[in-house]
Amino acid sequence: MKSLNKMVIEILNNVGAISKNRALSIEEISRETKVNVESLRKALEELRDMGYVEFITRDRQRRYFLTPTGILVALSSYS
Amino acid sequence: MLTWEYPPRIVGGLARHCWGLSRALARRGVEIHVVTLEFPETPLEEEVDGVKVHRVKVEIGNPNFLVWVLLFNHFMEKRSGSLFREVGEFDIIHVHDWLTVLAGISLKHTLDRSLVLTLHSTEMGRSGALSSPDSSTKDSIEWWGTYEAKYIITVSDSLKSEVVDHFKVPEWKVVVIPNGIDVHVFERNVDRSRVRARFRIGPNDRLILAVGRLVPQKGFQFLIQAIPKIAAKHPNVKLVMVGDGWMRGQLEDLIRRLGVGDRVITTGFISDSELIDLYLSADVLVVPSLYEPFGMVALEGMAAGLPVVVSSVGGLRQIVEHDRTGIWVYPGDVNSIAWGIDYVLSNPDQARVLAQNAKRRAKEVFSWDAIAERTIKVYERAMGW
Repeated sequence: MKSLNKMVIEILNNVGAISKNRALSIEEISRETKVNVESLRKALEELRDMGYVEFITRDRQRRYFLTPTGILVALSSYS
Repeated sequence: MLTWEYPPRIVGGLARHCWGLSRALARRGVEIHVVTLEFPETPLEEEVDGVKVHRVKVEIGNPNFLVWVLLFNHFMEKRSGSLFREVGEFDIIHVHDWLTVLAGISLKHTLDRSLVLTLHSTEMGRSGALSSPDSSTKDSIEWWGTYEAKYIITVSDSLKSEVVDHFKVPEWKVVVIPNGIDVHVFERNVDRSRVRARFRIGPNDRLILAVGRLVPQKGFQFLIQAIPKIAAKHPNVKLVMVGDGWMRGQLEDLIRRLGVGDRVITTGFISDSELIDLYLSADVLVVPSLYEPFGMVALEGMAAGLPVVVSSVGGLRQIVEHDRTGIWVYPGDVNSIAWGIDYVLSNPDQARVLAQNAKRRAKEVFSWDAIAERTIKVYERAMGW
């Protein structure tokens, strides 16, 4: 996994974006990760293809959260 | 019992350990409360096989992993404190690994109870060196846990030596109790052809199985590199790798580069039931770890009656006896891994004997009931009985 993608799923876990009702917008994720929105958009798409991230649309805005598999992969470095 | 992972939150062997141990303790009449972390679509409070499970919601997050660990320790401590008021006094606080040590230490002092710490690995072992500030912090928390705990349980002799040497802990304080296994879950009939077909493996293929987190310490990169060498002698060889992890992309790149995409299948996480089916349908299990304080997967393979080929490191050397209950190979050595697998595949009679011995050993030495009994003795000593 690219180091950016690894960092993104780890931070999504650490800030608690692990369910639909705690999903974050790309701008919020950008603030947490200090990564620009464009790079983040690409990373989130790749993570979605891998099944680690999903999004919901609320107020015409995509909000992202980790899937159960994404949580376990995010923590795989630490167990 | 405090643990950051408990099924269905299964990151590594720790979750399976806490699951097996807590249920076996409950069977022996111990009232056990497991305080762990939330997981999607899983109740915050439930009772499973006599174990009362309390999952805490981490109400405040932080992008920094170590700060997040501090935060979830706070919420675990808070839930444990309220449990103390709800259900009455606990006799023992049992924490697993550095991740829940801080809550455990705090509870020890505020509730005036003995602390037991099970170490499943050390940061020194996992990282190879304490080369980053984060690593040093984890190492310091581990040391603090070993200092505060009345007794420390390690899952193997090699881990005990590591803990005694590195943290300067007196030997008497460290008790070795291995992981256990529910052997009976592997005692079922499966239609091997059907299971194999599900993973695109033919009935006559030689099926190598590897299971674990896809991270460098598990050594799967060396196993993949051994595949062309094994295929030269066994043209119908296939490797199924079960598990996921941040290294999955790199491993899939390696598979492509070596041109073994038609022989190596990565499944990601699969259900326990599917995993058991695979154990019962494979020809050999390989555990090529570089660092492995115990090696739960090897034990699962042994319980399933599979010949196992393992790196001669850490706990694997204790679980598996070379040429009696399995085969040792050199860690990180592609030629040695290829040799070990070829040995098993080329000597079916010897492989059968190894598997039979291994299954017997798994049953006799590693039953959860025996492990729970030994753990209760540690609790009793910690309580001053």
